[in-house]
Amino acid sequence: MDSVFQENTSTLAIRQTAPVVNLIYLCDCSGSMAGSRIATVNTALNKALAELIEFSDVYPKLKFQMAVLRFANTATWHIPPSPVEQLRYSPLVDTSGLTALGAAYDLLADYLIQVEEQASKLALPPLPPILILFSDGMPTDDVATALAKLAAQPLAQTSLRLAIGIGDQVDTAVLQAWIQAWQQKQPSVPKATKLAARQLAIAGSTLEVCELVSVFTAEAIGRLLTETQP
Amino acid sequence: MNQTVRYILKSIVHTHGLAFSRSQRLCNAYLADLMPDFPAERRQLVAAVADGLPHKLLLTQTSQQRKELALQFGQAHSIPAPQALAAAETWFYALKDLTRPQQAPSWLTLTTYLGGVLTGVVILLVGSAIAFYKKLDEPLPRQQASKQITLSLPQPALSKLTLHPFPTPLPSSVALPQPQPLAQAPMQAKPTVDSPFLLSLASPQWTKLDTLDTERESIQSVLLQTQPLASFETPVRLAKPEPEPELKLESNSKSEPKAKPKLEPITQPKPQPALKAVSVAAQPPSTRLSSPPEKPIKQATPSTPTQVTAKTKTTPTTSAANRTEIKPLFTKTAQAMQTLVEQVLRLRKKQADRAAVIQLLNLTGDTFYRQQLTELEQQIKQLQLRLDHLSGSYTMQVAKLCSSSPTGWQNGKLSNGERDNHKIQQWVLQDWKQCQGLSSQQIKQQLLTHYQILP
Repeated sequence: MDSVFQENTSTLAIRQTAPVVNLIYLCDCSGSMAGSRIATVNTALNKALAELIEFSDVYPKLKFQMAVLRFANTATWHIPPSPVEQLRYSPLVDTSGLTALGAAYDLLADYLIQVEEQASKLALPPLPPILILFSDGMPTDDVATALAKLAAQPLAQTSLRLAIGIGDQVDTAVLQAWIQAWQQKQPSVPKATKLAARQLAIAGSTLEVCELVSVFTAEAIGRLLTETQP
Repeated sequence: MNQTVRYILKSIVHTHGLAFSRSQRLCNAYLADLMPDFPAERRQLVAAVADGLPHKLLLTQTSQQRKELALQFGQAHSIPAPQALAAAETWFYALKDLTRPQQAPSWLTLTTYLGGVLTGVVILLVGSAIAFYKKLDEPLPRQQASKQITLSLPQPALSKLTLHPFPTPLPSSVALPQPQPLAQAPMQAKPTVDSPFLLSLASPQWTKLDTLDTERESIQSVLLQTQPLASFETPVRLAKPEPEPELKLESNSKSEPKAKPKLEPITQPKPQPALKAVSVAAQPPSTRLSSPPEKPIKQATPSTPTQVTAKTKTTPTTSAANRTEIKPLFTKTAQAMQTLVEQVLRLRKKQADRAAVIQLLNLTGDTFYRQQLTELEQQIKQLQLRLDHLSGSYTMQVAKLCSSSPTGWQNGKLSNGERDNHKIQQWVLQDWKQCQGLSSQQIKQQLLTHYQILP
């Protein structure tokens, strides 16, 4: 099922006439996310898309792109990076298999490399991406190697990341590694007090998850506007 | 514990091996993804991994030990005993097919192994003994079944066999047969013994006997069917001489012949030129040359059998003496014929067995039947050799009988010692052919008439 939604990321056109704000959601679709958990994720993402469309109206000089990367036995793009104005959210329905979080990190790293290459051709520095991870935190593949590869990317080092653990069996160590893996190497990243305090959140209900996603997205966009001044 | 949980856990263990059961985190991740609908079971199984229960279970030998381990695990993790037992059983079910760690062989294992080896050896020995001592003469049930099919075919030649155990000597009126068919027969190739009276391997006799019926399993059955002939033979073979009353002609036989093909009535011999020639040939050359043609015939043969038979013919009182002289020859001939028939029947039985074994071998291709076939062929070969000896002996007895008969001396080649083995065979074969349509009583009558032993 993963291959059904697979997209060739090399064809993703990033024509930046205006600064692009990339919001990438990494969604755990393993068997442990079945039921209400994946429903919570779908609700939060649908709500986030609506808010991003509102943000695009508020900030017309910015171009907001949204992408959904799902991972179970493998990692694929459920929604490739696309302008939010053209998007209609399609929910994640298939939840089965293992948790290939490392594969998702690999795919994300490849995409960030591509974005950086496109930006270098346009002589326009890309904005740091906003990365949000939904998972119950129990990967079954090699996460460390893939995380090291991702952490080696400059865009990943400047990215704004949020990890939302869903459920009561969350492996916080995995989510903590996602947040703190390369913070030591990027001291220039400002520590937003409120944002930094909530980079890692454990959500038990749909409402909590939706609130976390909304708040984090808004604060991340505000931070980008403040620091980068596009 | 739920059966689905057992199957899922077993599939995970078979996919990822024992390493899966060593890491609590990995176990939890896998179980969370693959059995999200069984959180309670997953917790118990993961707790068992945290306690190292799976590997402890692999080291246990009995169910009692596993039960004790499960109870200890339940107490350590505050899990009720039934659930702890179920968790332990599920883990053991998932791990039992994997390779167990090396364990010291226990006495029970060693005893079981040795018992199995001993049982196999005993079975091999018994089977070998049965195969070795099994007599090939006794056909197998499958052989019997196949044999019944073969033997159910009509074999009309049996009656012919039982009717001519005693060949009549050549009638005096019948000319000696030409050796033409005998020369074409393959039996002339090589005689098997040095005696000139012993026949070769493939003789006309054998060719004739080969068409005999095989439905009779033994010579006893043959003799029972030829009861009149047996009653005729018995006084001849007896050591007690009771010749006259027993050897009377039984003309009131129920089985009268319908036809006598090519059998001419035996007539008394008449003086013929051939007699002279034979007598002359029996004389020394000097005698033949010096004496006139008429006298030496009577003077030169006082001690020869032809002279005795001539006296018998001329003197009525010599009939009893002649009969007494012929009786041992007649007895020996009958015995030789009886032995010959017995061996022929044995050979036919072996040939039927061989046909059955060949069918079984074609059906099964079993090595056992191949060995049986080889042994049967060896036995058949030996029987054929034996038959050559016996037929030769029988031919010699017949020749002696013919030479002692009042008409046999007229057959110069028989009485003069020019006994050609193949010709004798041909004569005997012709006798048999002549006797085919006759009953035993008729043969008996002809014999008695021919040898002049009728009262």
